[in-house]
Amino acid sequence: MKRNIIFPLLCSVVLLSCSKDFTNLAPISQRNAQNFYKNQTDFQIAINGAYDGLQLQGTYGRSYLLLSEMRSDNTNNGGGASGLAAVLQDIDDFKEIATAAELQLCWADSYNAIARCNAILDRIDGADFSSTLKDQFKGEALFIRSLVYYNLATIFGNIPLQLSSATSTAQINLQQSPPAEVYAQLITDLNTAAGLLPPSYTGANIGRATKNAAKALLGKIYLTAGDKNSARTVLQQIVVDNQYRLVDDYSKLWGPANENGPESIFEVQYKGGGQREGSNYVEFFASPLSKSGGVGGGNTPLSVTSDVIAAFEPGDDRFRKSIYTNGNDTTYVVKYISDQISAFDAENNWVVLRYADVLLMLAEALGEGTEAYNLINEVRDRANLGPIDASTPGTFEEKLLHERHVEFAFENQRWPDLLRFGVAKQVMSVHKRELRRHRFTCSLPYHKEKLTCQWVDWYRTLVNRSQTNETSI
Amino acid sequence: MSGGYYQEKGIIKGSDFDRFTFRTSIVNDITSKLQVGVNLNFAYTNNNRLPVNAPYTANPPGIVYSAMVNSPVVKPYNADGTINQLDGQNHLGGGTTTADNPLAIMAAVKETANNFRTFGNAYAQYSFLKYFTFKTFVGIDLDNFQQSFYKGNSLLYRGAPTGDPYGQASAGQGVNWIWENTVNYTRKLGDHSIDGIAGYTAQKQTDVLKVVVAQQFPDDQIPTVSGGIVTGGSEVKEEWSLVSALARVNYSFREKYLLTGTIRSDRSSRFGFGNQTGYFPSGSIGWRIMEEPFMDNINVLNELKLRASYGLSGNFEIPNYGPIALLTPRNYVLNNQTVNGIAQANLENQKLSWETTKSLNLGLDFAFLRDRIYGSFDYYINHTSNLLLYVTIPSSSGFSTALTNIGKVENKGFEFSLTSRNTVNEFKWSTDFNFSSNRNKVLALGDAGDPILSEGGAGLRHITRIGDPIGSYYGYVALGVYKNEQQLANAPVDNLAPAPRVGDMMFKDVNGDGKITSADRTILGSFFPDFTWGINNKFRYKNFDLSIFFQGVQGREIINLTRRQMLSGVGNFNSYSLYNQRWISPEQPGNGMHPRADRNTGIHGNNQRESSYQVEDGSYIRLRNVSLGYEFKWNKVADRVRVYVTGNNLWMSTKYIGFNPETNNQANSNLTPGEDYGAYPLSTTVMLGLNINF
Repeated sequence: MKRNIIFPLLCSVVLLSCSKDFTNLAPISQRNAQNFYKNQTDFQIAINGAYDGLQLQGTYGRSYLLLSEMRSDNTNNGGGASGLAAVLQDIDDFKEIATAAELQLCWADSYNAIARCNAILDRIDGADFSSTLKDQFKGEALFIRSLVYYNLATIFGNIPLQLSSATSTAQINLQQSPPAEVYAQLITDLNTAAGLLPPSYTGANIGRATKNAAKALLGKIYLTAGDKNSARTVLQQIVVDNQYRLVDDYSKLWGPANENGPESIFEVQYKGGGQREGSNYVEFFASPLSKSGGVGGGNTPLSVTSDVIAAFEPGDDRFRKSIYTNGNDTTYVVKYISDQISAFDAENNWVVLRYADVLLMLAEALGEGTEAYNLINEVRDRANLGPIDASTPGTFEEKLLHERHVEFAFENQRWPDLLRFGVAKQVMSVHKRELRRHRFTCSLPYHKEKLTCQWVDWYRTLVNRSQTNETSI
Repeated sequence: MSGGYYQEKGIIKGSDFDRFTFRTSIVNDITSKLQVGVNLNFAYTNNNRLPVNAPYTANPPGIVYSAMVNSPVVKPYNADGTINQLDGQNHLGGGTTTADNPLAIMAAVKETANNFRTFGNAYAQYSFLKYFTFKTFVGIDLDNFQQSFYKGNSLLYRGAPTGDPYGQASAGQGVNWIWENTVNYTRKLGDHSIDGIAGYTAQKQTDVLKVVVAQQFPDDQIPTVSGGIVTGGSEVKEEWSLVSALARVNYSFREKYLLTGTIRSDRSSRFGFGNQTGYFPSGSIGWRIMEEPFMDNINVLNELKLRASYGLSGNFEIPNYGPIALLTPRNYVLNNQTVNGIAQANLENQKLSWETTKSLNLGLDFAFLRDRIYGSFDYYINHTSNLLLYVTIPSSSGFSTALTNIGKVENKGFEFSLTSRNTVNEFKWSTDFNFSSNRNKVLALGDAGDPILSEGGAGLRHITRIGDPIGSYYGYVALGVYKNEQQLANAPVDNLAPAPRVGDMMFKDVNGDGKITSADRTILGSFFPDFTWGINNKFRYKNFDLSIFFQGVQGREIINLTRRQMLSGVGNFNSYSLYNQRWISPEQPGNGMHPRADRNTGIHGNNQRESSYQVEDGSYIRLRNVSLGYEFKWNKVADRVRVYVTGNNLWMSTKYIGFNPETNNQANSNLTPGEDYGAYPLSTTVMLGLNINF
């Protein structure tokens, strides 16, 4: 009797729980890297996830604007000196310390986006699907990774190049590469990407990186690295392709109705409506029009400066299409406005590259001459401004930089432009004249201005958790 | 069979808690050898809650902290009697930020959570072969959870021109079952008695959580997701399981020498393949000295026992899929349509395994004067190794933290308890006293021994490093304010203060290099107290009983993040009254501890940085409970009736300026303990009760 009860029970328990399967539980509601990255759908979803890396708070979602556009003379942190506003003020004043949250956010999210690309690039050759799509996905991953590295290099200077997935801490690259090495890598990658990417997309694929997007970014990096000849070649190819044109009305470059338009080369795509796909740009640039009333209960972190207002020539059509001002206490950027359903959830895309930039970069690559002035005048003409030439006062570089200043105001171009033209210190010293004791710790050891800067040692500092190496110029 | 009802109204209007409980148990001896039993419990709770503990920046904002920070010049109501939401302190100008009117939050937020929990067990026990008992036990716990949250149009978040309505409906279910099968052996042979148990248990839990989110509510008439447009939803299902084998033997000789040996092995689904099993042996010895012949003449003592034990135990409290590289949805937009995207959320770590604690315990139990005084003393050293922690890793990997087995932490200390029955006649008075002291120290952290810096509610303010308590506070040492120009000129250059002035905070040059840099951050205290104590006096006279319980904590520090805003002088918000003692001018230097009022401290003294200025002594003495009861027998109706009145938290003495020195904002993270970011006040409750036993 007792045997009859006990032994079946014991046996069943032992069988049930001895089997390894009882404690080998795979996730049910989340995908698992071990059985992913196998087929076309997997990579399709993965590449979309890599594009999403450009939307992160630490990339184009927020940090790239605060660490680039806000640092420049175009915008400032609109007042406030406590809490978040104090953190932003530190950035605006070039005195953030290496442990500042915004820098860590930017650094971490940028490398997170890079890791998403690396995960694809490491595994795609082993997957089994059409080589055409494989090429496209590879090209897209290389483009996204290069775009993020370009931003990191302009914000931080020397950075580690992590070119494959780190699956253990030993595989994390801690060695910082100087910008020359970073740009050499990006030039290789973008040349590869340009060879792999299709010239355009239709329908559901609109918004993905194209061949000419890779070339436009490549042109920018050639210029940054000082290789004007190569820049000219690649930028001329884009012009010859005749794929893009300047839109007639400057104000038709932004806003939900004009996204991915004829001048657009690459945009970070957003969509409002409570799906966590909306952008913050209304809050950050035009808080009086936002649903939230501003960042931190009333601030506009990217507020228009008097210096950028003064930069516009009289009659420049771009002024009122860039800036609203009542001449008194209300001034804000109008490039990124739209009706929001919820706060921090706007439709507006971020335009990373557009054709006017290609034209002005080509002018920069060509150097002073009729051809370059013609390109500049093409852009000026749309703004209802008369042509300029060699006889117009100022050097060619000054005139070109001025044109870029007003054409691309609030488009994250100003800060890299100042560095690339070698005038960051000069311009910012004038702009920041009110700061008597400010320590202009700038971010870049650039080829024209050998700025010693704290960010060179920033990463090592983070690893060692020792002290920051703050230096002044 | 028993039932209960409990109701509590919150401090904030609109919050309350109800609980109904019911319990029953049945035991049945089927034969002299076979016994079966069933226990069943039901509990239903309904909780109307409001956002209370969150900072003012949260959405919805925390009511307590919003109430604290609102400047006294902000009017609660408009002239027409409506709640003032738009004329907040940002209208004072100067770039001040604003916080919501707490009345508006209370009016706009509705949240109800209820739980229906059924738990019970059934067992069968069979005796055989004279000394053996076999028992099979099945326990089950079903936990059903429903939650409805609504934030109305009426809340204008921090001065926003329009509302941002949001509704969420959640439903969850947790099912946990355990099956234990044990064989027990008990035998007494002359002076020797032995009992042993061996068995096998299996346990599994499955949790499901479903959430629906809606936005765009046209008005506030319908506070459920049906009133708006559904914009999102999710269903998450997770499981974990545990299999254990255990064996324990107790042996005693004449009740004088006691020996216990245990071994168990546990296999948890939460660890990496091949690393799921942990073995945890332990042993203890006891010696009842009173039983020795040489104690026979010592009449003052009636119990004396020495205990010693050593053993291992394990911890598996980590997320269910800790070692696995999970991919989470990271959608993108193409052609203005949302498309599926995915990205890896964490690094894989199949090496992940048990966190193990080795405990050594030495104890002494004693009783004097026929149990008029009795108590115990314990000394222990616990070494926890392979801690399961989220460790900071270089973020160029793409990830900022990784769940890792790392390091070693020591806890050592003693516990002492003593009960004295002071009077034992008709008037009974006894006193219970306990005292304990623990020292926590990190002994090792990975191969390199790098410290772990952790972010809490407001940036990086905690450090875990070798030689200090886990999650110690980390920052600059505030030395008071610069009293005069000379002191300012002679002080080390403060690299974090762009343009300090007299009245700004002076910080300590910890490493003595003549300047203040981030290398001058140091340990500022920790949440671990030096000691805790309690004393409970119980009185009984005839049918009356009275107990008075005092309790205290000494030598604990709290990191009070509210001081950053309310004691820093930036004038964004309301200030603590302590700030009246700030530096105003050389003639009115205040108490030398509180910096000058400066709207732009970020470009001057940077007084708000993480420093000892935000760390406070959290020691306290509290009258935790007073209870007075009257008990009687109600003839023919009830065996025992007790009427009582109980007061909780009636009095407290502390230097802490916040509402509750027991606060711990990030309670779920052991690397960032002790934070106060607008804590819910400790409430005083007075309760009337009636117990009837039939």
